[in-house]
Amino acid sequence: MVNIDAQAEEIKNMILRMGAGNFSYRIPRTADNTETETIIALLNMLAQEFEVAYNPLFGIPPTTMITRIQQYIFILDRQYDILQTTFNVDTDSPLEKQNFLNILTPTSQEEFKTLVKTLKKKDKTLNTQLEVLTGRKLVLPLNCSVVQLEDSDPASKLLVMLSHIQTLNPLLLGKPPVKREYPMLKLKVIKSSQDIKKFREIEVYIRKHINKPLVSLKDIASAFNMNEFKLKKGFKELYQTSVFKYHMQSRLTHALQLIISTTDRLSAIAQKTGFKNYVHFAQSFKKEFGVPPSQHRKQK
Amino acid sequence: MRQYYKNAYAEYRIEAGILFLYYTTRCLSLHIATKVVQDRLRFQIDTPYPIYCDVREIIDSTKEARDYLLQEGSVLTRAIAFRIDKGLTEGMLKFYLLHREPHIASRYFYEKDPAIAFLKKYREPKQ
Repeated sequence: MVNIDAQAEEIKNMILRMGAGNFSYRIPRTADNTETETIIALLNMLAQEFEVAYNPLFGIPPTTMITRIQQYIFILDRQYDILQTTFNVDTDSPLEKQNFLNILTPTSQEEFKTLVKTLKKKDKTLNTQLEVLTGRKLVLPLNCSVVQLEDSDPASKLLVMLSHIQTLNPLLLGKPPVKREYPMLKLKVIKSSQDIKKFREIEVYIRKHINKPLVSLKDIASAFNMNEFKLKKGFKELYQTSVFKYHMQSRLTHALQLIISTTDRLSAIAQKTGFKNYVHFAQSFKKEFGVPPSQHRKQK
Repeated sequence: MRQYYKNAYAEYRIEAGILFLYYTTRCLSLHIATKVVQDRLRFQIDTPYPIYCDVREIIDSTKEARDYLLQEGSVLTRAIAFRIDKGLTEGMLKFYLLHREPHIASRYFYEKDPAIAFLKKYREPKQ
């Protein structure tokens, strides 16, 4: 049995953060094929899933969750020493006068250096993702963009902006959740987990059949052993949209993927996604995405 | 018709009616996943195949890449056999498959031969 103690501290810290509702952190990864490394990989993947899906106030409207863009600014000199910063996350010692590269993982150090080189050549900032080492051995993935202050001066400083989007339980910030009157959807037609399971099967069926127009609701209803009314109302309760609209959206999304990732003719893509004529396809596409299908080809 | 193709992230080969896809990248980002799918679709030229997908090189992936592959990774696919090693790759693949819908037959294998035997059933029947 591989000794887990070597990395136990990072794993425990990660679990504690996640338990507190903070899914922004990651445990630094290696290429070792050990049980411990597998647990670490799975914890990181779990944190990624929770980051988008977590709602600790389940049953209370999502408007009480706070979503904010957290930004940290660094002003660096040409040797990447930190002159000023607003970064305050878990650092073991004050950051001023330390080198910026010291708070990045080795891979991120290389990426940052490349980013600055590109900045010199193209005079534009690009966004890239960097992993910042925080105290307690965890990393924080942050989006990074860089600006050169005072172009012409060879000693000009660099402005580095690191940011990420955080969705937080307001209780973590010590703020009480704002009580608001919010119309809660009452489920009228869906009565049991069996019902929900059935509607999930219907949703899978719809997504499987995006290459032709949908058969009538009556036929779908009888295929799944329910009456047409329940199908219509129940689907709308669960998925917030009608069966037909959902089917149409799935077809159009798939068409978009085909447009972006293949060189098929647009008329062929229209056919593949169940549209009888191109005009109808183009109109529906434009209605859904705001631009005609040919626009995505031009943008390539 | 091409039998072999390679890009910076994967190698593709068609043999005996099966498409063999070997990921050569260690980290799977959305950008890489999109490129791998794009090139695979071009390589297949509109024909669906059962796919042997060797993911043993991959040690990390982003959620965006996984979500993208769940949606678009099974286009033009009759079935998928994932080739994995016990341990890290197995753990990550099982997590990935938790979200997968069963409408395309997919299984994982530790050896090549059973994977191919599974995929042979999904080949295009010879006319």
